[in-house]
Amino acid sequence: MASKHLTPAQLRVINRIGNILAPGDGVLPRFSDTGCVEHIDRMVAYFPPSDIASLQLLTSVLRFMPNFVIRLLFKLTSLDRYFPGSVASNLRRLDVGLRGIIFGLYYSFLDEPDGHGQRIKDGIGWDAAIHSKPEEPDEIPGLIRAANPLNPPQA
Amino acid sequence: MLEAGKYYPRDTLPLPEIDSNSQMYWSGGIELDTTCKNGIMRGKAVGGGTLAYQAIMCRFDEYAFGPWRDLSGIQYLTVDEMSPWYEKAESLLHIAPVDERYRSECSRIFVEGHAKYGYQAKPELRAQRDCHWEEGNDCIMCLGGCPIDSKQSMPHTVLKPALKQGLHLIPEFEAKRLEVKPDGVILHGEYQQSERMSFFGRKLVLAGAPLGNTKLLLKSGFKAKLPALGDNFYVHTQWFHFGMYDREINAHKGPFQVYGSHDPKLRQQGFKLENTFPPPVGLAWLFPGYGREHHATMRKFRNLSSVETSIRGLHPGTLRLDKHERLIINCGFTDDEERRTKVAQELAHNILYSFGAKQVVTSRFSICPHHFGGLNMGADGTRSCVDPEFHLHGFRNIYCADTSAFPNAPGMNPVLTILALSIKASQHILREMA
Repeated sequence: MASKHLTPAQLRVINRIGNILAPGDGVLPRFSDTGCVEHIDRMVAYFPPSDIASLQLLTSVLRFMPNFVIRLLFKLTSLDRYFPGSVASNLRRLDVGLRGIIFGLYYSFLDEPDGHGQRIKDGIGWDAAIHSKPEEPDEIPGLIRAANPLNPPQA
Repeated sequence: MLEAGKYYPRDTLPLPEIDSNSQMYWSGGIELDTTCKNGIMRGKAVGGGTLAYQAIMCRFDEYAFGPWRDLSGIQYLTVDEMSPWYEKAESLLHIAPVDERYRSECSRIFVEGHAKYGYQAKPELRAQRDCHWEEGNDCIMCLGGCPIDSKQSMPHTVLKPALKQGLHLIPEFEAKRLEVKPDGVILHGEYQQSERMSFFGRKLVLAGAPLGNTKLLLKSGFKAKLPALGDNFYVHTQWFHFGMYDREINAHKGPFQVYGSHDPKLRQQGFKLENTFPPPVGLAWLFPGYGREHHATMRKFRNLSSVETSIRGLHPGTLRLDKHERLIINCGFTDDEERRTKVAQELAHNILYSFGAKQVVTSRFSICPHHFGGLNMGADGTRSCVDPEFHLHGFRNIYCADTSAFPNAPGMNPVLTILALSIKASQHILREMA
């Protein structure tokens, strides 16, 4: 496993969290079995630096926690409404962030058509598609390239 | 034209949801408000949010313009006086409702559910053409940009002719600070996240929407001269309500967001219902629960229908900077918004149950693709930032006509009004340049 932003140990924590949120059910695979954590930089690279630092800190701390503690944490996030303002908002922040990472990786069908991505796609019955082809050639990329004075002139 | 995002050609759109969410929106997808209940979505691409949205077109009504006049003191904000500007905007786009032949089961539940409870739902006017539903196209795929250019997004409508007329466009330039000079404006920023650059212009039009414009001006020290800067920030909070059926609904198939509630009674109550459905990552993120229960829900994906409730924020929030110059977003929600959220939720649940839903669940969070204010328009410079002729108060060389200048949340889809106000603003600018 390789990431520019997270260490292998931190990625293993992401896999552990993934297995709690998406443990697999016989049809849908377990999160860590899909290998989708390999693609985490496709997401994390676009986070603000402060969010990357928070994720690094969180995964470093959770590394030393047994799974039941992580489960307890998610249980608490679902009870956010019973906590005072700042505690509740931090629980929600955790929930938003971790669900976004895990489900973003899992349901983007990253290794279709042959791998686990296809299995997840088939498992939920996702078959949305655009079958048509564009009717006209696309002029805009050429116009935009030419419109940028910082681009080197084309030969 | 300086744009922070990249240009995504139709054949290399970042279509897996992981890529479209990360690359086409600021901060990797969403930005949370202080309560972390509301996720602000704002586009970061050439064309901005119009790649993902730019679909529903409506002229504002008196429920929108009335409060705008009261708050701003600007008298041209009426249905009649704005009509010519709307006409010009409409002439730039292909706008039509979706043919009823392609109405899905999700849409049927939405429309007939409204009727059952005494409300009206009507086809939305959508900016799209040649979607070829007869070939089995599913518009949910176009939420990360339309691969067949059917969606009338900004690059395909107003940008293309501008480029042909010689517009210079620099993508991947993030504006950091603004400096006012006697003869113009200097914008300092970063190109491709590495190279510092500055641009001088005689005039500057801010078009970074509420969060972008407000952050830039706050960082540049404008709060001292514009006391209202960062005040009067509003959102529409959009909640999804999912009904689980024992039959296939296939809400993800065919045209998208075909109907909306168009009912004065709901308008008066300050909310709207929309006929939408999220793609898999969005659904998994929004739907409460995890573990095996979550998998069971996702495996019944095709049996889900949804109704979205869009709540008009009527109480102003604020945009501020923390000590690290990060935005602190306060959506300003009060008990009144909470109450209306519950009323809207109850109607959405009733609609879904009345057509046989076995279970109805509301999303864990709300999303806010529509946000307004921070640089609100008004005649009084002590209580507003943008004057009736679209200048920043006291700065004749800086203009703004996007949603950051809106006096409050209109409770309606804003795109057509952004276009109409922009065209009106362009006439002022041209006159002044002449």
